This record gives sequence, C-alpha cells and structure tokens, in this order.
Amino acid sequence: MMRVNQLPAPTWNWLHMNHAETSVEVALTDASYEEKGSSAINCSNNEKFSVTCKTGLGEEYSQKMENLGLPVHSYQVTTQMESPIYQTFSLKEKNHVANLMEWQVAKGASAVVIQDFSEEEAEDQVFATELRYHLQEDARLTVVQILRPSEKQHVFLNLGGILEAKAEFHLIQLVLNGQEVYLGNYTDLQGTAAGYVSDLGYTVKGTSKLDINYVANHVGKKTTADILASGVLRNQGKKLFRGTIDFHKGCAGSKGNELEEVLLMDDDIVNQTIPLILCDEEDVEGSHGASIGQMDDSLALYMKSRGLSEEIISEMLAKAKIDVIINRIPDEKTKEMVRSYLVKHPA
Amino acid sequence: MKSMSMDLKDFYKKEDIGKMKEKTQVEDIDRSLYDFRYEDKDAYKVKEGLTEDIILQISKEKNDPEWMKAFRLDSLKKYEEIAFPEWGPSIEGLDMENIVTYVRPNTERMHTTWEEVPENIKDTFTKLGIPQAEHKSLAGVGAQYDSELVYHNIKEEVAAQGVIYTDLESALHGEYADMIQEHFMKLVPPTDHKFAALHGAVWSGGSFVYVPKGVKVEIPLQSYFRLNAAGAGQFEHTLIIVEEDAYLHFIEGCSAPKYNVANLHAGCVELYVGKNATLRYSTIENWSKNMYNLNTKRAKVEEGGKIEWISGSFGSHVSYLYPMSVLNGRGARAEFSGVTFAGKGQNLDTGTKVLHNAPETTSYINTRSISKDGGVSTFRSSVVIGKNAKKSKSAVSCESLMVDDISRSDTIPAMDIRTKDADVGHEAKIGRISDDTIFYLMSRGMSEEDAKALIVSGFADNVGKELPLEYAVEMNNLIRLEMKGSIG
Repeated sequence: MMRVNQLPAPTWNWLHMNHAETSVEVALTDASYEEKGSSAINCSNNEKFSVTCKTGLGEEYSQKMENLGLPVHSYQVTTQMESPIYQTFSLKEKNHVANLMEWQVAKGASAVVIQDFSEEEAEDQVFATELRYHLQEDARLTVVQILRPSEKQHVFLNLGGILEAKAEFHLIQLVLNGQEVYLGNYTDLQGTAAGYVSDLGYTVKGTSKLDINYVANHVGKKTTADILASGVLRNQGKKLFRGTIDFHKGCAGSKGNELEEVLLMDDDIVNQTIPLILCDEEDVEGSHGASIGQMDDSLALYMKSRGLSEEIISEMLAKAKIDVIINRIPDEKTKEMVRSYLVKHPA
Repeated sequence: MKSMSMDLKDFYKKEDIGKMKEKTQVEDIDRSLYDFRYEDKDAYKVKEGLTEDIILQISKEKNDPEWMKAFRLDSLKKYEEIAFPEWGPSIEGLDMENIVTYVRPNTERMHTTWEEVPENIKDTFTKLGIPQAEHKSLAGVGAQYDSELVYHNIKEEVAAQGVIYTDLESALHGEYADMIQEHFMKLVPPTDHKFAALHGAVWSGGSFVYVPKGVKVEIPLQSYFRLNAAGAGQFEHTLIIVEEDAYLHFIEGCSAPKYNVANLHAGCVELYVGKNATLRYSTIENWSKNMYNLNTKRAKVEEGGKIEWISGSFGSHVSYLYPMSVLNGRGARAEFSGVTFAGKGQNLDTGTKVLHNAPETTSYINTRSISKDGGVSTFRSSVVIGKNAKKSKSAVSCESLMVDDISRSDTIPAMDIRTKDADVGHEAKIGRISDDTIFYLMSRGMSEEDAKALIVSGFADNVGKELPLEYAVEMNNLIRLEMKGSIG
C-alpha cells in the first residue's frame, strides 16, 4: 500500500484523516493527448523532471511516478500567451495510463492550460498524473483540470510547484465523477508577494470517494493564498478535504484563507474536513471557514412557495455549488462544455 | 467650549483612586502565591517507577476491594501494550522510571475542619485562598495534597438536599460502592490511551459527587489539587453524577511549586449528566512549568441535558487536554469555552471533542489561544456527527493571538459528518495584536506592556465572563503575570 495525501501536522489516529492509503499495482503507460494552442511554446520530452519540489500527494507517490521511466512532457513559456492551451486526454485505447508534465514559466510570462480528462465508458482503469510548475518572477500560470471519468476509474491528480517573487498560480479543478479520486497540490510560495489561488468544485455520488490534500507553504514575505472548495455529496459518496495554510518564520505580511462549502444531499454520505493553519510568524493573517449541511430551510420554504418542488430545488442548489467554480474558468468554451456535461450528468 | 479632558480626581476620592490604580510593576505582583513549597514530610511514598509491586503497594495502601486491585493490574498491562502518541508535543522529558506515583502526606486521615489539618498543609491552602473561598462562596470543598485528599466538607444545607460530595475512596468502600463500580472508568476506559491506562493503574484521591433528581445546587462545589512533592505524579479521579433535572456547578483548581525535575498529572474526570440536567465544569489550570499535564475529561449527556465546560489553561510544561462531550440523548447540548496561554518553555496542546450520538443535539465551541515568549499553543478539536444525529447543529470558533515573533500557534480542527440532516459551521482566525489598538491605548496614558496585557485579558473574556468573580480575577491575574515581564 502507498501512503498519499499526508497531513503536514497529524492529529488523532482514530479519526483516520492523517493520510490515505491506496495502491497502484498496475503497469502504467504514457497517456496520449491532443493539444491545441501550444505552437508558440517550447515543448520537449525529458527523461526526468527539471522542477524539484514537494507535491500534494506526497513523496511516495512522486517517487513511484518518477520510477515509471515515462517521458516528462516539459513546457517552457517565455511570453504572455493570449489564448489558452487545450489538452484533451483520451483514455479509450489503453488500460492504465500516466502523464508526467512540467510547466516552467519565465519572468513576466503567462499561460492558461486547460486539461480535460474524460472517459465515460472506461472500465476499472487507473489514470495517474503529476504536474509540476516553476514560475519565475512576475509569471502567471492558470491550470484548469476538468475531470469527467467513469464511475469505475481510479484517478490521481498530483501537483506541486514553486513560485518566485510576484508570481501567481491559479488552480481550478472540477471533479465530476470517478470511483476513487485523489487530488493533491503543494504550492511553495518562496518569493515575496507570490500568490496562490485554488478553486475546487466537485460532486461525489454513488459509492465514489474523493480524497484531497492542498498545502499553501508561505515562505516569502507578503505571500497570499486563497483556497475555495465547493461541492455536493450524494448517495454513499465519501469526501475528505485536507487544506493547510502553513506560515513559516519570515513570511511577515502574508495572508492565507480557506473556505469550504458542502451541500449534503443524502443520508449515507460521509463528509470529512480538516482545515489546518500552522503559524510560526507573528505578522500574518490566517483564517478558515467551513459551512456544511443540507439546503437551508428558509430558502427551501421560499422556493417552494414559488411553486418549485423539493427535487428541483435540490438540483438547483447542487448545480449552484458547482457553478461557483465553473464561473472562474477563464474560457467560455470550456465553461459551456462543462455545463452541457452537467445537463446530462446532474451534479 | 469646555475642555473635554477629564481627571479622575474630579470624580473619585483620593484613597479610592489609589486602590483603582492598576499594578504596573512586576514586583507588585506576588508570584510567590503559587511558587512556594514545603519540605517533603510525607508519611509514606512508593519508589520511583512503575512495576506490578508498586501497583500492589498502592492497592494495599488504599485497602482496595478485590475488583479494584484486579482493575489496577489489568490497567498496568494495557499501559505497557499501548504506544505513546506520536501526533502531539514531545514528552521525551517524561521518564516514568523517575516518577513517584504515590505520596501520602503526613496526616492520619482526611479532615472535615481546617483546624484539624496539619499546619503546613493548612498553610498551603490558606495561601491559595481555599478556606476563605469556602467560607465566602462555596457549597463544599475538597482539597488534595499530593496523592491524598486532606480535607473534604460540604455545607449542611446542601447535604440536607441529598447531595453527596465525598472523597472517592470513602465512596468506594461505603454505601455508594456499587454506584462507583458501575461507573468507574466506563466513560474513559483504560484502553482509551496510554495515560488513561496509567491512571487506571495508579489513581489515588479525587472526589465523588452525586446530585439527586430535581436538586439544584445553587452555589458551586470546588476541588483543589496541590502537588507539593518533586518528581511526583498526581492521579486523582473525579466522578460526578447529576440526575434528572438537577443542576451543579463544579470548579476545579490546581497548582504546584516549580522544580527542576518533571512532575506528572494524569487525572481523569468522568461526568454523567442526566435527562434535562445541567452541569457546569470550570477549571483554572495553573500547574508549574515543569509539569506534564496529560489529563482526560469526558462527559456523557442524556436527553435534554447540558454540559458546560469552562477551561483556562495557563500552566504546565506540556499539556494534552481535550475535554470530550458525548451527546447521547435527544436534544443534549455541549458548550465549551476555553482559553490557553502558552508562555516561555510551554507547549500546550488543548482543545475539545464532541460526539453527536442522538438527534437534535447541539454543540458550541468558542476558544481563544495566546502564544508569547516562544510558547507553542495548539488548538485541536473534533466534531463527529453520527448517522443517527439528525437535525444536529455545531458551531466552532477558534481565535489565536501571537504576541511576538518567537512563538507558535497551530489550529487542527476536524469535522466528520455522516448524515445530510446536520448543520455545521466552523471558523478560525490567527493574527497578532493590532498596532492601531496598542497605539490608541498608549495615547490614553498606558504603557505598551499594560496595553498588551489589557488587550489579551479582553481577548480571553470568553472564559472570564463565565467564571465566578473570584476566579475571573485569578485568571486575569495569571494573564497579567504572563504578559508583564519575564518571570519564572
């Protein structure tokens, strides 16, 4: 078994939230994907990662990925890209696949990468990724990951990276299905005024399981982090959200904020949340909030008085939870694609 | 236009102004209040360490019934099997081989009047204000010195209501023996964790309180624990049963002189709150800064019942303290108000746990923590809402204040919800004292030190306002002691 998503500061073992244990005991081949909009970017396939950093899923997983011997798809961005780069991963033809990728964004450069992982028909498949990033001074990178796997897929989306002074990293993830999904991101805010924003929308239904670990590591002065997670739990869905704001000595003037909002739709769900603030520096502001429950009684009453059934109200509220995140995607085409998907597969 | 400036002498007599003047000099505050000691004139103590022989000696000393002797030995086995916790502050400095687990003070028996208590022991509690508090404002007092209760008394009119307040060991042998056996370490079993098992093996002293159905004890009962011996442990057990529709406020206090060797406190508190009953349990913990405070407190609350925890943690070198509420009946409620102040050389890991195990239960947690002079404060909590806890609600608020840049503060709250029909809200904030607020107070004539002390006292008001006045004053004094200069 492999330990992933380790909490930076453990708590009582009986809660079973300190980490997740899983296994990837299958042979993984390189995932193929179609790409558009990257002609102006330098891309090469390397044997190893150039970026050395911690990742959200953790060292054991990263080591396993590195030992696969698969090519690392390495992108160097040197200008401000005007249009997004689209990467569509096709998982139909192969069984268990993996993708290793890194993005190095030069000083003052910027890019938006939209990754769509979709395989509605796949049976019992493992899909494992690791994406690393290194943003130089004043660089910007937005990574959008749309995960629309089948109900039988096991997915690992692992990220980690380093931000230099005034660099900004924005991660938007939508998890709309999957049997077992592990998400992790570790952003190392090294440089002064570096910023990290994370927006996660999810729906967990059936007997699915979603396990998350986000860490904002504040090292530089005046760094900022904003983590938002908004989602829906249905049927016997199980979700564990770990979010850590870690202020190190010397990061004076930094601010970190986490917010989680969860809509609980059915009685057999399991919702676990553990938001940490670790603080070794006086001159910081940290906060976290969580709001967890079913639809508000007074809101429901109001909407019923307008002629809406309870079922329709529930669906509207569930959709609204995901819409908050969809609205943050900086690409209209992608927003429409996700909304169309949700019409066929309601949140 | 008349000047808006005001002078106190325009409104108060000269002598009253003197009384009102806040003590601003460190030497004005009597630190010796807690940090005094008497030579160990104990009558009997066991050797350091933890062996079956030592357990048997303690059991013989206590004249245990057979079941308790067997319980102790079984607990020792569990202690040896269970691992040390690896998720909290380091307790490397605690070596059980150097801890004396039983010290009987030099007094033949427990007394019911202060006049009968040996001079040095009576003097100790007088300095701590216990007899005075009993006279003025308490319904009963239990005073424990090292491993034994030396004084226990309850006001006649309270006893006449059927309230029992006695030492646990008398209760174990007398008419309440069956009740004790039925409840003892059932809420906190020895298997709970390593130091619960240790407690089960070497416990000594502590109180038993029983409040019959419908009885409201309007004035608080108090137990005070004083550890005088160096290198010793205190393992008192408090068992409180509040029957249906009854009310009790129980206060516990503790202190010890500071030594260069480790002392250990691994007490246990078990509270049973009956249907529609209310129990308020207040603690001002001021152990010396060589103490390892590994205490376990748990309440089980039945239908419509309520447990109120008021907790101030100021002492100890290392603390593991998480009062837990098990909401076992429909509509049961738990409230927790806590403040933790971690100063120099302290690593205080405190918080609370709530288990919602029935429908329509509610919990409200409001905590503040302060870190100064390199202190480490960790807020750790869990709110678990079970499948059957429909229509339950929980609100958690924790705020942390860093007073300087050499201290540390962590918050580790966990929520586990297993029904859709629950509402949980949580918020946490961490920051420092606002420069603007300090500047404002200084512009009103306060020194920076005084200003910070006032702000921190206000920050801890969530607990202060829930305590009886004398204890709120003590708490604020402790805060001022910590804030106003390097002491101890």
